[in-house]
Amino acid sequence: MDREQLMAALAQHDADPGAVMAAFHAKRRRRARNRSLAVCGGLAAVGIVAATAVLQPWASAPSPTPAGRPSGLPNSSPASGCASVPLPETLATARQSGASVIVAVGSLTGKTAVSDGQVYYQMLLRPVRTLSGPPIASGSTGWIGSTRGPAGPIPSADAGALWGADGRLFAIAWPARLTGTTVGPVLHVAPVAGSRVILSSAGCWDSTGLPSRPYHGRLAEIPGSKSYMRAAAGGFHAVPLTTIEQLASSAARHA
Amino acid sequence: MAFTDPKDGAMTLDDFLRAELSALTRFSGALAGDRHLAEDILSDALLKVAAQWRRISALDDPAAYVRRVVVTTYLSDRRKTQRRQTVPAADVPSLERPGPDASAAVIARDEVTGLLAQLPGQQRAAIVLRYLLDETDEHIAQALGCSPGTVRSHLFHARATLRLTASARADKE
Repeated sequence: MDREQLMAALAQHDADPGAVMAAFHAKRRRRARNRSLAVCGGLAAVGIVAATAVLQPWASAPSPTPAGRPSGLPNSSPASGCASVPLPETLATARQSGASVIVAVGSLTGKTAVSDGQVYYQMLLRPVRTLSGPPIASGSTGWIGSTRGPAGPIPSADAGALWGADGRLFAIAWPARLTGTTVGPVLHVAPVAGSRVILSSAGCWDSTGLPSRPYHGRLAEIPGSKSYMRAAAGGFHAVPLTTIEQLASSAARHA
Repeated sequence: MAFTDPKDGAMTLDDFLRAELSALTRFSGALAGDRHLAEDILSDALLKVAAQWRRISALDDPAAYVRRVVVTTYLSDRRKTQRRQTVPAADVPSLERPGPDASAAVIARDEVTGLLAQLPGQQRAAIVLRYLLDETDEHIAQALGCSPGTVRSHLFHARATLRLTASARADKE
């Protein structure tokens, strides 16, 4: 290689000044807005804690699940990020509600939709193996929720969605009628790597009580979501797929 | 639009960007090796710069400091994303090709790009600072936060990977 070749190679990816300034201004605005939201959220949290403390003596039994929303769906409440629901309970709830538990290979189609202020990405599933629940045909499509609203990231939402680098995933497929969304069936996904399912805060999966070991390999995410980075903070837990399949079968028997 | 209230005689960030943005886009592009990534890195770096502009503008060479911020942003981003990036498995063929024709330049440039992509972040940054900006070992060391000896080591290994010709090395050594 000579110097001219090196210089030519270095000069072929110059950033566009207009795009840089547009991104800079957009990030500045987003940062300022997030700061405002954080301040407002903090004040709201203080208010809620104070109100709870005052009302607690007269409170009745807690109602953890909002009406019409299955409790097995990932909780992306801005206040908590993730609810702690062990996987067996999540699967049991899913089956009792009529959702399907599947293993599939998924790929984003590039289509997006907005429902209830959340952006969803369409995913094509091919092939599909239904572990329990109503069969899902190979070639079906579903929607995965991102942690972005139309105006940008949703503060304090969970880490988003991850699936295998080769597209393999484990999922609960929720029919549209159960999710209250207008987009269609919603997929609650977890990556499959080798013979293990990778559980993490991406999707709010809880591996408590399951045999697992740490996982550090590559995974796929919605472009720009930074789900991997955010979920990595809490760690990835690789649970044998056979264990998950047994849980799905057990949930089917009790449904 | 002004980013800061200018003090008497102090350069505003607007003024600075009018003079330096073009060079910074070239610099970040050479570092990142991808236009869109370069735009992302440079805009992130400018966010950090804007927050400290009053202090940076008082420095002797604000442009050098901003380039250092770009380098650290690039290295930080590279560390974060390294585990998620797909690494091409194919071996990059050597550059020696007999009888170059019209397509040879394009092929060679692609191969050079492939070789550059193999460099670790610190080595790539050292090559960009040396060959694109003609920086000395001492200045590169300041930008990378290491010693001049380490810079020489980075350059040695990077040149070996890039298979720089003896004449190209002689240009700079």
